[in-house]
Amino acid sequence: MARLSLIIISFIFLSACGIEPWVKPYEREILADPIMSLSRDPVADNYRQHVYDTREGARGAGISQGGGCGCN
Amino acid sequence: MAPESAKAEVVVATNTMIRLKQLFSLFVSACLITASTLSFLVSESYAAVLPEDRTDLMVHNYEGGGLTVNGPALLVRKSFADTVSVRVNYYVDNITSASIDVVTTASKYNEFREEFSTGVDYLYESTLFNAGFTKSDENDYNASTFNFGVAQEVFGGLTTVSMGYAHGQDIITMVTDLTFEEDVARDQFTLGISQVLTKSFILSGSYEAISDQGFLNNPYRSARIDGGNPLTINSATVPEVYPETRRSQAVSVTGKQYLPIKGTISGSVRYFTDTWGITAQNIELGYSQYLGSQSWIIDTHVRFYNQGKATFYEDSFVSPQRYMARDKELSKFKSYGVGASVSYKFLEDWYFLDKSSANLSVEYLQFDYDNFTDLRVNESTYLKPYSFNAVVIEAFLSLWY
Repeated sequence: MARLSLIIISFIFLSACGIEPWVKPYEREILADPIMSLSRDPVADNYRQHVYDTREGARGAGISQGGGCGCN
Repeated sequence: MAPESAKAEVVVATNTMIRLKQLFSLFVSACLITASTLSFLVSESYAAVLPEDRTDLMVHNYEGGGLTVNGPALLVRKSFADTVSVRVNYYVDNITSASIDVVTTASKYNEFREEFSTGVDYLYESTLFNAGFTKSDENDYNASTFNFGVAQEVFGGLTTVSMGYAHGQDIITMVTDLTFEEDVARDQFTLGISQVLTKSFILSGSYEAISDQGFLNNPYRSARIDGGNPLTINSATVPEVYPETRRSQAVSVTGKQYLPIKGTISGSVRYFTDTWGITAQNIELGYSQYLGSQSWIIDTHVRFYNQGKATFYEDSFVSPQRYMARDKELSKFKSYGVGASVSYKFLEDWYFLDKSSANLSVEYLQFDYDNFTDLRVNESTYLKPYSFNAVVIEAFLSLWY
């Protein structure tokens, strides 16, 4: 948890420091491709996570969490 | 063997330590939320986008371990004025259960679960807010959940930070005892971050803390009491008793790399822990590939899940305890999954449609339990560790407009 916090805080400070993004908007064609989406089909991903959740003791931070590729 | 009172004290002390760690983690999460909110105020903002306008109609079928679950699912999402996107979801489970739990303690049953969900996303400058409500109903379990969250792209759109909160209220009843009614309150906190690392690689991290309070076990399920002889056929059964609180934390990391052969390779790991003593890990590897003129996409994945048991789980208890569980989902087990799906894109720029796709997905699952035995007396597997496999099928049509 402490390590995760450190990583997140690092990203937040980086974002606030005005460092130039190293992947320019015109270089994001691949990132915008549907095949690069972390959750391409939300209904199917939610169902699959539901199948796991109802049969496993673990829960949370599963498929379809997070997202966003900075490719708008 | 240590006296039961001493064992109970150890469990209480362990739970107290875990709770302290959880409270600390929640505190750190709250600090992160505050810090990231402040960072949005001082950093340059970048345009966010609303979710895509789309409709998905799916039929799903799960079959395995004596259990069959199938039904439809529908998602409709539409945006208005480029600032608001509204979604409506409908989902049904038709359940026919003759699972190992059911055939050893009760009779086969049929059940119907219906879930309705709606939500709205609102784009304000470069921040995307979302709020939603979900209601799930079956004949002995009703659940209501509301949620809200916020996401923002920062750092030139290379980083997306998101956070969310959900509160749920469940009501549990019994079809065999109309006077029985209990409830559960649930709070969920999520924190997510995704980071573009190169022109073809994206990394995503997610953290989720969940806190439950209330009646957390299945009122129909029983624990076994064998008096020190686990081989006895007619062991006594007593209703399960669970603690009335549960706090869990899960953290996951996912990475995806585009390959020059018009494909992607992805990997995901998750670690889970809770105050019931359960720890679990899973890892998933995926490969996707365009075929033809990019009209076809083939997705494949393998998944491995490993779980330790809850402190109060036993396949069979020597004598009654304060807390007792014999739910195989709280036992020590491993599961494996391998799946493939195919997606075909068609009707591009056709009347009001931007595109459509037809999709078929199949997954095979195998569950192997270490300390949950088969109690079906007439089976050759009697009193051996239980295992089963299942096949999950999804077929769905997607329309973008």
